[in-house]
Amino acid sequence: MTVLLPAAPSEPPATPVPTRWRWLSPVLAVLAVALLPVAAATTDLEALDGWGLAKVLGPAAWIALSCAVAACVAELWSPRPRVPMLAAATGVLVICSTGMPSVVQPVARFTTTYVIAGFVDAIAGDGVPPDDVDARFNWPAFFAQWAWFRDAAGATDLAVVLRWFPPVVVLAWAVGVYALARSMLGGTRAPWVAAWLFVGLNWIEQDYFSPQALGVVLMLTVLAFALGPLATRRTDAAGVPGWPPPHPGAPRLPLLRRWVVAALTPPNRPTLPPRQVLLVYSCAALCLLALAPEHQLTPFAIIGQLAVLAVVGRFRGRSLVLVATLALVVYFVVGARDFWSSQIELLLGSGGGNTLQVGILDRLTGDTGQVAVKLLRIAVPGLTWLLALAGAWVYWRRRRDLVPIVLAVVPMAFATVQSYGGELFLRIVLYGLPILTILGVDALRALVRRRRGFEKLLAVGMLVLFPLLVLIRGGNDAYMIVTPEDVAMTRAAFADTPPGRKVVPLDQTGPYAMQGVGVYERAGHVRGCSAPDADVVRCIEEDDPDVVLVYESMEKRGVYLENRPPGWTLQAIEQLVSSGGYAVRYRHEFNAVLVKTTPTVAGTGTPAGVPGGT
Amino acid sequence: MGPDGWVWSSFGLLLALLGARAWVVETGQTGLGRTPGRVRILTGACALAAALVVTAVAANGGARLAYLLLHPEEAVAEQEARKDAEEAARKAAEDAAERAARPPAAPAVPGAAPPAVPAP
Repeated sequence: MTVLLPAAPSEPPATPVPTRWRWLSPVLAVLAVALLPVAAATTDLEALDGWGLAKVLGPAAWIALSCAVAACVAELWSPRPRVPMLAAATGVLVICSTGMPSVVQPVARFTTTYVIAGFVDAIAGDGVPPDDVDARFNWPAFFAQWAWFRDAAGATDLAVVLRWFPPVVVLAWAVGVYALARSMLGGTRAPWVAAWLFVGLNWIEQDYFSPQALGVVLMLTVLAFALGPLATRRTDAAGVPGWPPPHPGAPRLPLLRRWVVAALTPPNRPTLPPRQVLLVYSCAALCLLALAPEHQLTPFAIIGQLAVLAVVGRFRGRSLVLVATLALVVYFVVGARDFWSSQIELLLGSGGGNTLQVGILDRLTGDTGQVAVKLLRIAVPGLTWLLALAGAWVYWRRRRDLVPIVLAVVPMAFATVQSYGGELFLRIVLYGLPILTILGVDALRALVRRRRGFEKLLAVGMLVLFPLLVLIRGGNDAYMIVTPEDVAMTRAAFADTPPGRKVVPLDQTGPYAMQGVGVYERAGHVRGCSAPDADVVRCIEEDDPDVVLVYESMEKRGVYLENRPPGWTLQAIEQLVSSGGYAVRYRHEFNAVLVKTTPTVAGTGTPAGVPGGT
Repeated sequence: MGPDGWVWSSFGLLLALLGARAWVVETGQTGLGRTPGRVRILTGACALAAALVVTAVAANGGARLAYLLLHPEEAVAEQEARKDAEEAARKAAEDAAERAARPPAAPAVPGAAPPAVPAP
């Protein structure tokens, strides 16, 4: 017998999206990209001062950034946002904001980028890290990985990778934040806003070519697994309410009982098929194992966050905490034995006040532009935390859940247990930022749901936030910029100096460490020479190097950051030359190579391949 | 196999056991309130392997590191003494190299006056 069922009511045909919404975002995105070459051509990098990159960018750069923001907002406001278009607009936004220095500067900036490139250079070829050169060689995974890529590609340097690494890695981070936000916030628009807010608030500049940049990618991957496919809730077999109480009238049970019940009750199975769960376990375990030799701090952050999630029963696969902890312990004790057996004072150093002094207060120096930018760098994380706390309150009202804010707080424990110098605060902000931005978006979403008019205000806020990001990130570009001439001069200086000689920079700025690690002797530790206002001539004379490298970025660092008189590097060169100890091998404007006037140093005259040498 | 090899091997064994346990747990059908026997055996094996890793780590520097972390003054003093000794050895080696590189002294002129002896 055939039963005729009434036909299911067909869904009403979707209203076609108006043409303007279909084309507005793509047109704006293409316009933003098309303006980037104009931005590069109209930016006067010679005019960089204490205000950094923002002051010298041409109108085309700002218009490109505005178009990128508008492309994102336009697609988000569209009646049916398209995921590929949102992804493309996000990519354009990253290129036009985080990637603006990569666009307008011909080679990678940042002294530390070249230090890391030098480490890669040292490992390339034989694959063996040099001994007793730098503590970071005890975590060589990143250097070895890129040395392998370099050798496999048959390349002689990583110039292109160094230049474009920041926007690419920030894009990878944004994908991680999007995945986390999808799990935590739901919805179709809020996760994209979280990714954009993360990009806009990420002034921290830990995305240069470095182990921590890749470490954060791995950390976000594991966190996205734990809060995504592995996410679950613990079924309370004893019917014991959790903590905090799910509603104001819920009875509170003794803490010990709650703990015992929580520890003995396994989390539920996730909804995925078992083999997919196993695949996710394997990938997460691989990421955690890779983190141990990758970076010193990142494993602590993810272990702390996973431990919190395991205690509250939010993910299945608690043995991942064991894997990560033992990987860290085994690698640190065995793999990094040289580090802790020779530099234990770095582990024992007190954090707290000294870290606060070094990380924040000591950095408020320089001319007006420098101080203003640094104050903004302090204000932005403060405002981020305020927004996140508001979001935590909204999240709590909505889901009775305090775990996200605890996840953001966990990296702050570093301040009490680690001695990592002045960059510790940067890492604390960075590791907490993904969760903080997601909570912040929850607060903004609650605001918009209460009053729709705030959407326009938030769009304007985005138009303000991203130029501010360019200002803050590029604030040090006067002395962090590296020119093709700097690179060529450094290569030529190493090529003309026999191995084993001591090659040092006049000041710790510029690409002086881009090669020769483990082959040439580096600057020694001369007492009093690490201070910003140190007498560099005395330091050079006491250190007694064979070759001294001088860059224009040193001159600008002295003038804009250390309040030295203009032309101080020229005076230092004159003093070193007039003392009879050094002769000029190469000089062009502020760039110079000085060599010791003894017969031990081979080669004089202009090095080959250096443009404009005199 | 050296001592470090034992540490890495025991850690590899632990990872393999954890993987096997995850496979059994996720692909097996379990009833409420009872842990299957295979899972219990693998859990015990994982605990033993974890204990083996901890022991191997402790024997290959972990105990020493823990001692240094618990006695910071002693650790820093010990390292400074070692650094001073290394610096002294380096200087001695440099001096020796410098002496070896120096041209030999001219032979003494016969009949020259002996060097003056400082008054006590």
